[in-house]
Amino acid sequence: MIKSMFPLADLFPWDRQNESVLGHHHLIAAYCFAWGIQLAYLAYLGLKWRALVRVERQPSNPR
Amino acid sequence: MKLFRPALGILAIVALGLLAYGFHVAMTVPADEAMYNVQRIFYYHIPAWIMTSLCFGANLIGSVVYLATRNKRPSLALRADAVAVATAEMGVVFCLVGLVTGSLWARYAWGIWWTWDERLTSTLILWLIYVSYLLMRNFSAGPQMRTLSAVLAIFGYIDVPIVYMSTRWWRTQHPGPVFFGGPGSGIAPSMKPAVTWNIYAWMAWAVLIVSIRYAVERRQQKIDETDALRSLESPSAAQVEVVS
Repeated sequence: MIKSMFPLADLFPWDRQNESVLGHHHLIAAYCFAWGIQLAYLAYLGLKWRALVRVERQPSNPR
Repeated sequence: MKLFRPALGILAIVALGLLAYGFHVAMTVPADEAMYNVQRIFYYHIPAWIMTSLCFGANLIGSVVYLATRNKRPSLALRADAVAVATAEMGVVFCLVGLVTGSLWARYAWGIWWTWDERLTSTLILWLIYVSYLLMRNFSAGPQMRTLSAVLAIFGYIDVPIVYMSTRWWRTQHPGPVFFGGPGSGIAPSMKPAVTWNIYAWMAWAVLIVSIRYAVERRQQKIDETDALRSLESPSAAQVEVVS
């Protein structure tokens, strides 16, 4: 079930044999945070770009 | 601009490809014997700090060029200022990634989220300096804003070598230097591919995002310039806008 829901889940080496309670949570949190903040910043840039394009296209704006 | 978009597309494909491969390598190299899988945080933590240093270095260069050329070559100065703001924002993002991933690693390795040792404290100060740089840019206006920001950036960069040297100058809880740390330093051979590929990957990502941010800033500058010219041509209309 988990494999069908998350096909890329195997990429995370979940090894219960040599892992403490905190380990994997921290690893996943670190990677998710790194990606999350970078993608959020990219989205912010996209919104900013769109706002500038709208300003330029305003009919009263002689650009 | 005609070449900018295709170049950006190619760069995006390269960056995403490298990031995917870097992630794959980071997840498949053997786990560390002492830290187990938590050591894989290191593969994002180290590149984040390298990118932070490079971005703040580029911000310093942009700020110096802006100050040197603002009177004689205003067009070049504006481009330099756009580079400065783009790299400062990217640097702040990478610095935050470094701080948070380090804290998550520390909770596992040391049992604490944070300690006020010299490396961590100087890094937090570095992040706060560049956050204040961005806040100043956002909340101040007028012709002096860019000059003041450039001066702040030059002073702010002084903290970068302090952060790097902090583990040598003081006894810190943070591990010793990985690069140029003398005998005993360096990365274990099993970790090298993961660290190296992720450095390349995040470098490509940084170039991509800084390029986009640079384009946004240049567009903003052109809009501001047109507005300023328009208000000069019809000052009465500009006064009405200000009053309203």
